Amino acid sequence: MRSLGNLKEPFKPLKITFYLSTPLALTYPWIFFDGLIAHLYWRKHSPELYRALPSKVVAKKIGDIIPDLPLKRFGPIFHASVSFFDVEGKYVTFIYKKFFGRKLPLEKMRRRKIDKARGFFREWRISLVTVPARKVVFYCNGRAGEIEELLRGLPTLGKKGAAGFGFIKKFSIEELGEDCSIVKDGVAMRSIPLSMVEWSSEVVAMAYKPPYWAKENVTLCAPPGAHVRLKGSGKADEKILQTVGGN
Amino acid sequence: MRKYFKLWAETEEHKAKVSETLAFLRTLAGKKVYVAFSGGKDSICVLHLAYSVLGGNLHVFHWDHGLWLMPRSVEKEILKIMHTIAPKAKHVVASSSRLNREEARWNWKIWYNAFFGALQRLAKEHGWEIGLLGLRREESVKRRFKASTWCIEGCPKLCFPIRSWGWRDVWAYIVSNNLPYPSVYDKYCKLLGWDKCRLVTFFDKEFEHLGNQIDGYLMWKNKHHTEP
Repeated sequence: MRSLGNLKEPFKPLKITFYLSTPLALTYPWIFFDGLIAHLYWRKHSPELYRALPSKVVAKKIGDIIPDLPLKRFGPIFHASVSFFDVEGKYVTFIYKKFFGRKLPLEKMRRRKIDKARGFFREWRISLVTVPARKVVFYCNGRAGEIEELLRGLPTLGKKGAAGFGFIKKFSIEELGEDCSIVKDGVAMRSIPLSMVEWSSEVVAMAYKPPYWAKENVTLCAPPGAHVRLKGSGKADEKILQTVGGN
Repeated sequence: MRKYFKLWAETEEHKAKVSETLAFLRTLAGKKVYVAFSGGKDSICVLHLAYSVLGGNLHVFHWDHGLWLMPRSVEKEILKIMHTIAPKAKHVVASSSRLNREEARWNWKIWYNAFFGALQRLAKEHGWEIGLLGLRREESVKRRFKASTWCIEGCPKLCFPIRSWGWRDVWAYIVSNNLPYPSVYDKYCKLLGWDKCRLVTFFDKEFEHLGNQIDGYLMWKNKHHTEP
């Protein structure tokens, strides 16, 4: 008799909404939902491998392993969109990283001073774009239960969570009637490699799978927001082609 | 902001700075002068001022930082600006093929070696005696204490004609003379402010500690390049 525990929940089109209590800090215009899920997945299932290895090794070793993410796959990409914010405005904020060595017994040290211009104690001014979003929406096609379980361990969204940015108040997962995770009304909802696209209004070199920071995953893609026609998706949307001047 | 800068251009303080700079540039007549033109706002002012005094005798030296540090669209715009402001000057554009690698973003020794090597060679070739650089005292503490001229071994003496100018003077000069400037300024100034905005190389690890992480957001299309 088959165990019921082995039966996996079916993939369903989902809309995930995060409600934030503090502004979001970003260094790239979007957050990729599959990147977020992959990060949480690796953190949960093999934290020792994920945390202990140098990042370059992680990109090469882990990046090539296709994890059993609770997201539907479509060729080399996952059914997961980029982030959509409820506001358009953006601001810049600076974080100053300084070594406070005033109370150090410098007279006992060999060099008697700490170089803050270079090396380990270098001072930094980090610029971050902040988006005062209250609501961040992602679309995906996956297993709601598993996604919810992973997202429960996520305290913040975006960069510099430890500095108080992007604090998640709550999140909700709702089922949708149609899948909007890759293309919606002829518009790309995520980066799609050119090999999967028949026609695109824009082409940019960017990553298409997690980890998104790894250059090994960079290829020519249709960026989020571009008008696209996926290979084998049937006839072209004439209206879109006319508006963007494509052929 | 244009209105503000136009009003600033009418102040006595600004006019005095412009006439002081022009008087200095007139003393250079008859010498082999080149303008180090980066494409930034300060370079634009220096180039326009020097060209109005020295005309076709002026040489303009521009260094192309390569694909990884300077997006091609920005570079194209800079070259167009250079030709618009000083159409009859002698334009010298130099670069190094070594800068067309991703390594150029973090290994700035490549840039230093290639740049100073090319500058020394070109200075000898064209017989440059004096270089004009758009460096301003206001920009940093280090620059505040820099002498009015600067000598690098094997390179022509560098002068800073707009050394005493403030950011308002620079923008006022650009706006009042209707000079073209790179469109990235509009993008960056909106977020950073017109006083803090500077055009330097993009995604450059050398300036990472000064806060160029914003490049990833505003210039995301140029963050990665695929091999040709």
